[in-house]
Amino acid sequence: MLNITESHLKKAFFLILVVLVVLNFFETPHVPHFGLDKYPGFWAVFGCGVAIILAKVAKGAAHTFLGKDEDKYMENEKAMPIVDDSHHQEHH
Amino acid sequence: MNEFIHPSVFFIICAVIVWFLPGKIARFIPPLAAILGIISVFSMKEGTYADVKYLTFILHMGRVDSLSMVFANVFAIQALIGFIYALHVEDRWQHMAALMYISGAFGCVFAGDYATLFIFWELMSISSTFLVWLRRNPVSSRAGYRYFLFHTIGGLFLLAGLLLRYKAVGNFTFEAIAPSSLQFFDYLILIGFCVNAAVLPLHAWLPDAYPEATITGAVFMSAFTTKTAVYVLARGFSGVEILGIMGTLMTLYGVFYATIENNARRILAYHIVSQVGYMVAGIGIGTAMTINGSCAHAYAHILYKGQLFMGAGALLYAAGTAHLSELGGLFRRLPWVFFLYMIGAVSISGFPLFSGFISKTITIAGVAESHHTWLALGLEIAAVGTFLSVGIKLPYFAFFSKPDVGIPLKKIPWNMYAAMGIAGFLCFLIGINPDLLYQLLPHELDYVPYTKWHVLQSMLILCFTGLGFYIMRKKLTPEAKRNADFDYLYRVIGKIVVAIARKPIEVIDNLWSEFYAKVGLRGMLKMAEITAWFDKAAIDGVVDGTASGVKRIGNSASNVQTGNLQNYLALAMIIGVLVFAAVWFV
Repeated sequence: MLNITESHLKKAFFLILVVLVVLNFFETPHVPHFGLDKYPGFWAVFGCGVAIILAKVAKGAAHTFLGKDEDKYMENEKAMPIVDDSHHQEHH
Repeated sequence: MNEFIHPSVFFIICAVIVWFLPGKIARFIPPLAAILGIISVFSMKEGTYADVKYLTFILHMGRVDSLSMVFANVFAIQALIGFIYALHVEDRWQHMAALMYISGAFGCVFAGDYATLFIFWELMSISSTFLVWLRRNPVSSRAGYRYFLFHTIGGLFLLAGLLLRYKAVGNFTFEAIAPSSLQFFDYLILIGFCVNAAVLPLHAWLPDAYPEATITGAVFMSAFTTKTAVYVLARGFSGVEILGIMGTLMTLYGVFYATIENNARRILAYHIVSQVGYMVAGIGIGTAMTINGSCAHAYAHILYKGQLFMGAGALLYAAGTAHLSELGGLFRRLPWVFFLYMIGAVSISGFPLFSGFISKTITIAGVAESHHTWLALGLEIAAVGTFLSVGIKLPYFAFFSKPDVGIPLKKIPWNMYAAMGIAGFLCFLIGINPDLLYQLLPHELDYVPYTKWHVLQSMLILCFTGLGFYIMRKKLTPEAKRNADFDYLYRVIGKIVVAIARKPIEVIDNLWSEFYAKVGLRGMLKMAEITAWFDKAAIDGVVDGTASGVKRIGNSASNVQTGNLQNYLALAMIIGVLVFAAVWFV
């Protein structure tokens, strides 16, 4: 039985990345739409870069102004006069 | 006429049958409706059928052409998948709501005029609200209420638009409108459609309500509401430039929120906004290729998004929570849920061999070829975000990330696996055999998805997105928080309105009580004495018994008025159907 560990998977993953970039030197778009995408490796940088920037910006926004405590977020609902079968009957 | 049987008929009849059966038996009825629906849709020929005279109008209920056929085709298939997934549910109200909801969706797709469209549009809105409420907890009650309010507002925009249009044009014809000749009433109709298509900033109902719906209800809702809206937009408003821009913003907005969300079903809900963005953008650009792209993507999307919601639903069913911060390490105990979910995930991300690859790329290529370079770039960025959040983040934190946290798991019924197996197979089948889908499209399509460059480009983007995740994986750990979206705004506004309303009313109420106590009471007591005497002596003698009669009517009326909006609405729907039927037959 093959014993596949995490480090094997990691190596395989990085090998795939390298192979893809090498292939990119032989295969390029016939009609580049964005200008820069005629250079090999553009979409590799694009994918990785966008992922990192998106993670940074979104998480940054979540930590500063978007993220709300779940209960507090819901609290705004309770001020509204909604007939709520379970909650209200307990109170009255 | 005999070539066309409206699929809605099967669903409505089955809804009535389900009503009369106990839940244990009723659950086997809905798949039958779906099978009959599939037979009906696959045997249809193009043409105009089922013109029904109603009052002084003619309702066109059966417009069958290449555009409506694409949507009807996938609606029928997804209905069957959804009902197999829901086969274990013994709550017959859920089945009834789903059946009515789907019949509404078919009605919209085949509607040949705005009047017919509006009837089925509202049927969808009401019955889908029940799919939220029937989760039967306080949070879903409130979410469903907001959902219903928002869709009512959208419906009113549509109604106002089509009535003003009727006044100006003199008919309810629903045809494509040239973008240059849009009138005020067309914009009202467009806004009504945009509410259901979750176009920014009218989208907040979707990520608000879908995660609170029943497990099986969310699977249905993910398929029909937004895609019906995409269909009507494609039918009426192709080439309206603003939709191209809004669609692209939707794709970005959706992935942005999905990146930071914690609830698995809310992540998927934001991805509906994002994926529908591709379709709206394609419609907005409005070339034959992008319209094809939108239709193809809607088709593929219904299948893989259903698959994802079924996967997340299975997680919720088994573990009792869909919050990623509470899950983790479930791979060993739920390997099949993981594999089936991943089929949906690689499909939505556009991996070669799966359905998203052959549909999403049409739209992007079409947008780029029509020289909307910035929009195409936005769509590519969204593609990265899609794989980052649905393809890697969600499964990583649910199934791996940490050792099994040891949540007790409920056994997942076989039918859930069966439904996911069928949907997964279809995602793969369309992925390796794109012509199955391409032949259904409304326009001639000159596009080959499997070129060396397309495959290499997709693999480069996706694998390096994986690298990006690997670098950022610590930072992306989901947190038990809720991220403010536009629904936060209307919650706060609601609170403010209540506060404002309460203050003046309180002041007036206090003043009145004081006035009443000082001035009114004494005079009133005297008056009461006199009238009581008059009443007893004169009136009761004449009309004896009326008082007790009125009291009896009052009692039965108060039984009807239980104060629950749910009951009101259900009653209103039943009365509405009865009135509709009465007018029809009389």
